[in-house]
Amino acid sequence: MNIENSKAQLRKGILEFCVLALLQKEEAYPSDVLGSLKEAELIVVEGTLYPLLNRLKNAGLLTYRWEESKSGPPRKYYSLTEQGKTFYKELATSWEELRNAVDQIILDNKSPKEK
Amino acid sequence: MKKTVQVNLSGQVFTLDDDAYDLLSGYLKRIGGLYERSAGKDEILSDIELRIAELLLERKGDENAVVSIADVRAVTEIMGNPEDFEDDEIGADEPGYSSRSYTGPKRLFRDPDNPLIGGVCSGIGYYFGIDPLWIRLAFAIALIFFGTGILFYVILWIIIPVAKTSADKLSMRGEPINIDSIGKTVEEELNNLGDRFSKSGQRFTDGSGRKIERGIDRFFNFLAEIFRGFFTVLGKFLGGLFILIGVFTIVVLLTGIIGVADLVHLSSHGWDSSYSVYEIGDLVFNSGEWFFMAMVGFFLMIGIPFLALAYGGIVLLFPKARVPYLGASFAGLWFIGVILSIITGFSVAREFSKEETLTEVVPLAEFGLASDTLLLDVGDDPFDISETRAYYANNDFMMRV
Repeated sequence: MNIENSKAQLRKGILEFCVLALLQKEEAYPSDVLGSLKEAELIVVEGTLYPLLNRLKNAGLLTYRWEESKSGPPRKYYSLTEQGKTFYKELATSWEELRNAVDQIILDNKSPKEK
Repeated sequence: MKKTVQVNLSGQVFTLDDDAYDLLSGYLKRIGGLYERSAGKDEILSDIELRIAELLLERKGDENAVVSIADVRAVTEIMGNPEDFEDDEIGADEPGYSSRSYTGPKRLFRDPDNPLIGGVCSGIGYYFGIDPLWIRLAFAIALIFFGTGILFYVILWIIIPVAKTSADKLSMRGEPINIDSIGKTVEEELNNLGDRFSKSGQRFTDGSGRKIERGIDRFFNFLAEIFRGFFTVLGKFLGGLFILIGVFTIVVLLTGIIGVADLVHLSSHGWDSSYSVYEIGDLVFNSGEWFFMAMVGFFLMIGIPFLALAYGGIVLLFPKARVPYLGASFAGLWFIGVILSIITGFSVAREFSKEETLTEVVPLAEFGLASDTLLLDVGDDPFDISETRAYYANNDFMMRV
């Protein structure tokens, strides 16, 4: 059993949710999103983000607009559509439940010493 | 010294070293191959290109700086292995994707993995789905008949591109392009190309039997080298021949013009005489200027092609001796030579025709001729006139000297 692999599986499941979370407050372009995701160690290689963004966009959850940049190529600013916002809220609710449930399980099964 | 290539990444122009370009275009092609079936392929690719452009700009700080292979390696490392991008959900909602395979358009490539000489036959074999042995046999037969096989082969070798990337190889073989087959080909490529991608974080599989494969590869490469060597030698030989012919002809032309040697022989009735070009020029041209112009025109028209031939030979022998625009200059000079020759030609023709019209008509009766015989004394002429003919026609006669 490879620990790195298991960690990656854990991250993978919540990556989609985190991307939506990062974009729900305000629009951002991929480099911003990548910065946050890397900081949280949710993403290892940057290339992963682009197919994901594309898939979310094609599913109607995201939209984007172009903005010129002074220091480089034009930037694609992504934001959530109405459908995306609803989608995110549902995911956020289920994340809350999941987190509480997981915390509870961990807490209940801690060895007496740690308690 | 490295060749550089200019590329446009999302509207941003970058100058890449040749090897950096190969690495980057190979990388993008791999991504393209992976998302071949995805509806968002172009968009994903252009987004990734955009990010690569950003990363390169960040790294170089200046868009004019030349991007090296190390830069591309660093950037592709940040972007990651295309095979690792794949999340399980990708394309799950796209109909027909579950089968994850389709037969891409087959294309004709030279097969770099299984060549006897240049991989032409092997590539054609893949294209028509038959054993390359039959194609090779066909070429061998064509070789027996008039040796056309070799020419045809060389032409095909030049015009058919070699299958460089995994996607190329797949469309050459016509194998279904899917993630598994791409991965398989990438692995094969890694084995073949050794450490080309190994530093960019690629998996490097060390298959069994690789040593034997390497040995066979080396043998084929050796054959290809010999063949290439043969053409190189042929090229050098032709180059030497061209130089010899060109230089010799130009020397002959120059000596003829300068009149160092009596190279122009006029002979008639078994009596030989030599003239330098100047003497003949005096005969034909009335003024030195016209003669000079004619000579220049003549030399340019005849000499330039030989000069170009010699130059071609030099380039064949020493490819680095190529001078830009020299070929065009030759063409221009030759054109000037042709124009000068035409002008002088017309002028000479006109002068000769003038002399003709100045011919005086003298009635024979004035000489009080008694007989049919006419004796002509041309006096002390500066040239030996070896032949004098007189024609009688009715009461007129025409004399040609």
